[in-house]
Amino acid sequence: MRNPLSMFNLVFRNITPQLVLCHDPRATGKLSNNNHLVLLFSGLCLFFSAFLSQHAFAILNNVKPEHRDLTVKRIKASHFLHQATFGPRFGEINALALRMKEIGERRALHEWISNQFAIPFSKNGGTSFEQRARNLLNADGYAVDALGEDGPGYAIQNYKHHAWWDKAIRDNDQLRQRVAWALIQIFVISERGMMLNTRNNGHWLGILDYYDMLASNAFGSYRNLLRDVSLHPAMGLYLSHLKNAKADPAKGTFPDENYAREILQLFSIGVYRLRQNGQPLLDRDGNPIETYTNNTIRNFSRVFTGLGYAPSAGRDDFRRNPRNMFAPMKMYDAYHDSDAKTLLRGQRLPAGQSGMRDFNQAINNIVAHPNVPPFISRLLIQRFTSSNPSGAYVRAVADKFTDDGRGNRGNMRAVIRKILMHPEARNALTIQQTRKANGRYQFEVSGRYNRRGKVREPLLALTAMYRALRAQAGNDDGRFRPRSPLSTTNQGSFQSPSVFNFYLPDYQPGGTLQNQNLVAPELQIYTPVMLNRLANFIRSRIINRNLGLGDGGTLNTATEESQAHAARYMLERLDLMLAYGTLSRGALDDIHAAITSTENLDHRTELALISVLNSPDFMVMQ
Amino acid sequence: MPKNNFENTIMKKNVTQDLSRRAFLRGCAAMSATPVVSSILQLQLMNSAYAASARITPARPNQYRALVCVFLLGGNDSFNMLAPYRPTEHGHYSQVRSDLALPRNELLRIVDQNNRAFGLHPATRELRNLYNQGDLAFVANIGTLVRPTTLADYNRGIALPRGLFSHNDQQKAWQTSVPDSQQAIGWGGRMADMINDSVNRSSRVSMNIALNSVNIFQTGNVIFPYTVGPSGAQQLGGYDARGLFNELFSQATDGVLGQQYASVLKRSVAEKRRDAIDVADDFDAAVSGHTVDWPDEVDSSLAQQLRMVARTIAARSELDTTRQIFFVSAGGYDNHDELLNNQQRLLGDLSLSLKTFYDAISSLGVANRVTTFTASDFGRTLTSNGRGSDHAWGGNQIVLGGSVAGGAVYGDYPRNLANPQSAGGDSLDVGRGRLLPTTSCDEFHAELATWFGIPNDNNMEAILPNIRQFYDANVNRPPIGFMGA
Repeated sequence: MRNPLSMFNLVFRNITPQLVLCHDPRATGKLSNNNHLVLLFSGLCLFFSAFLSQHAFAILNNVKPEHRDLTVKRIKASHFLHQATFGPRFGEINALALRMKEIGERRALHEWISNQFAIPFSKNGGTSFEQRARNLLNADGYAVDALGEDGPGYAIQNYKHHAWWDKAIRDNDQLRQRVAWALIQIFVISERGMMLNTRNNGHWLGILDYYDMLASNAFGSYRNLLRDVSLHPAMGLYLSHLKNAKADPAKGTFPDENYAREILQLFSIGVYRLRQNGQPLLDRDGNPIETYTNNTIRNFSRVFTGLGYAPSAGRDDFRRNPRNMFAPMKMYDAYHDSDAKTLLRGQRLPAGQSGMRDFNQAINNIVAHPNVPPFISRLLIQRFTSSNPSGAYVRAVADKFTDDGRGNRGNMRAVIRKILMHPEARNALTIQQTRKANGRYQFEVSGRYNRRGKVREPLLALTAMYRALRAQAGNDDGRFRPRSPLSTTNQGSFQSPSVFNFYLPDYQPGGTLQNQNLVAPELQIYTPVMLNRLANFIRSRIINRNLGLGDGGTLNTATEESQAHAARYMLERLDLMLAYGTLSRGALDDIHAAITSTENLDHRTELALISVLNSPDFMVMQ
Repeated sequence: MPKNNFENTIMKKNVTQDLSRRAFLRGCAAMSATPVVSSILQLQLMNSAYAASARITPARPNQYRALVCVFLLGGNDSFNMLAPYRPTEHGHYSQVRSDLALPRNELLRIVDQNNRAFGLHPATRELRNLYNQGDLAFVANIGTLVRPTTLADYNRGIALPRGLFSHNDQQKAWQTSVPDSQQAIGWGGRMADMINDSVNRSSRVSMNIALNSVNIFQTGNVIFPYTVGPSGAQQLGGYDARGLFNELFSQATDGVLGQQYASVLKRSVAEKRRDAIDVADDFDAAVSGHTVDWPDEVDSSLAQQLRMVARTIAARSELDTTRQIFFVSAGGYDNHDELLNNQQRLLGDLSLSLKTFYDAISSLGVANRVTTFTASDFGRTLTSNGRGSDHAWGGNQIVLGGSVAGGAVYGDYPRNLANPQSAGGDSLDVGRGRLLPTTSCDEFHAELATWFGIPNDNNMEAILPNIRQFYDANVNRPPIGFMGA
């Protein structure tokens, strides 16, 4: 026994948690200094415990036989929601679990996905990111290009981060947002570079216009997505095919090859031929086969000539149109190279076609390449469920990409549904139930596949924390205005360091992962400095019960505090909510031992939250 | 890296009541200081031609030496950094570069060892001064090669680097020096694997130190880069600090990180967090007391990284090491657009940062013990796309240091950039003024490795598997000649 409190813990561990759900100050053996608060708090607890009594039961340990089924479903619901959203709230886990009980697990999850697909979103609609930023600007009384004393005291461009956070924390279209966030990590643009973040005239809002374009195509077709990406002026600026003119022999200039290269290398097919399962296709000598040569790039570079800003302010001129970040680029045939071109797999575009005909046929040429389904499927799987999906998983998703069953290629709904519902995602947990002497059940949840799963992106670790702890806005309008955590996490919305995203899809840290030939993209940005900064940041947020990042919002830990005297119960609830029950027994025991060494219930709550949020079982999703 | 954090933590829990946690952790690390190579890795080592064949003691093991790689991310347009100056040569340059050409009268004139004039970019006055002082040299038209390659080879696709002209592939190729392989072990990592045991005697801080971001160059099979920020390491707040709360926080942290995780990713995360906590202590303890003279106004990202390198070099005694490899990087070099404006800024920053760094290590008295070199994804097209240049191949690099035979341009800088040819008269243009390199990265790296103390025998081959395509074993003449005798 380390200290006298251990006795107290032993006693508490054996009390059925539902009996102590209500916060009873006497049970802690210590009264708070502020009796009024405690009384009020106790009253609230009584209220909630009565309210919850229908569903409140032991979380993972000492589960009554009649609650076994629902417990299984809560674990599975939590796991699913961690993959498909910015992190679940406890109530959302319960609601989905109850629905799973009602109509069956898979039907309920399919229904959840369908419901998410049905939430309307339009690029210029009220729920768009651009509109959210404009609403926040209006509410705060700032112009889109406000500076200095006319502004909020920090760069006005931060309102796009405000919009990203506000939607991630509050809005219900979680799956669409997650897909958009995955897509901008493939079709990368960034405020860091190429003047995309210019304040003048609110040009920086063009980044949100681009993001809205991704979000509106998130449940559409890959073909339209690739077309719209390629025509968006933000991409035109970022990869410099905006105002890219055909060769000028007199000046000795050639078309810019930048977009031609990256659309093939990063946005569609990659450098090497792939099998449908994502593995490289090898030639007879065992060497990889390149998908294109530099000559292919030069031909595509001629396709992407002639695109300028859309006309505005009465001007319609390839080179002199004013900057317009909110309409697709316009093709100016006089600047388009209309000579014949040879594209992928030898497809030829005849000479003399219009620029847009060349453009559309080139997009079709890319979309038809057999690499697209496995290449894009693997990248998307990596953003949602697994850094190292099996060949069978990639193939299953790629098959859906190739043909959704109705002859459509690149149906994003079918692809996303398959990613989330594939057995490798859905059966990734082993749930063991052990009958105890008292007739109740002990649940133990662990990962089924030791080589699968993924490291949480740092930004998504923070959204999960904010949402689980029921973030409350500090502002009267109920909206959130955090800034970017880039310096703490190496990741922030719209802040990729280059078109190669925050991390490479094939990044292998040295050591164990490299020896086993496994990749862990996210670990590329979890440097020692960033690991400790993120842990320090989480500790500050928990102790201060706030969002940080310049936002005035608060985190609500009242539920956890009310359970802190029943430390095991509190921990199991956090385990279910944040790690879908996978918190290792040893880790749970160690955290329990640590937190029960103090009688201070605030401290218990804080230590428990900090420890769980920094545990490998939270940081890595099975 | 402690091989078994689980044991460490369990032991600590029972024993550390009166022992300082920090002191105890140090003891544990010392016990497991020899990294245990897994059986899978051993298999890889046996099968792999790239694996370091042995642990060796480098030449002059007790004399401190450091290599500093300055990676220019995106592909430096280096024929505007080091341009022709002779009127005819500049004329050809202007012809092929069109609107990207720098006017001859703006270039900073230098003269090479054969009395051939070159022009440095006007923003690089500091580089010119270092060159004229004899501390800086250039290596011309260098790039990734599997073996000496001709235009005919290129056109037939024979023995070419993987992913030519692609950023990430070519960054990787420069860093591994094995452009025909997909492996992710860097030549600096292999070198550290080979000599670490004899030069990095007791510190848990890796001899390979990266600024800000991880990289392949410094990643070996057993030695990995330790990444710090421009102001050093980052401590885990409250860990091992006073008060019950912090004690419990430390206890819970140790517990959570000390589990035997079945998931490989979880195990990696636990190891990384454990190391991040422990090594930060050691690094800060060694480095925080050291400052270097550094003008406040030299504060770009690159400058801040190099300042940290200088401070770490100043702490070499505390770190108890006689060989270190550093990696810093500067972004923004991928200028398909706005090339001329951006180059003014980027090369100006590079020039001032390198000069300030050189001053700092000179005042530490180790100017001739530190060799700094640039690397970049690739050179860029000599021809213009109307606003900038595109991805190419061969380019020019900088070497800087008291041991460098400076004031010279090494390699083969083409006489006529409008019609670039090899010494044998073959065209070097693979299209749009993409230059086929005439000097390989392997030769560049072999010369740096030789200076670092690696003998030119099978050990050099273990570090640079393709080196014998370019440089024979056991010859004493250096492959390029930029490192002084």
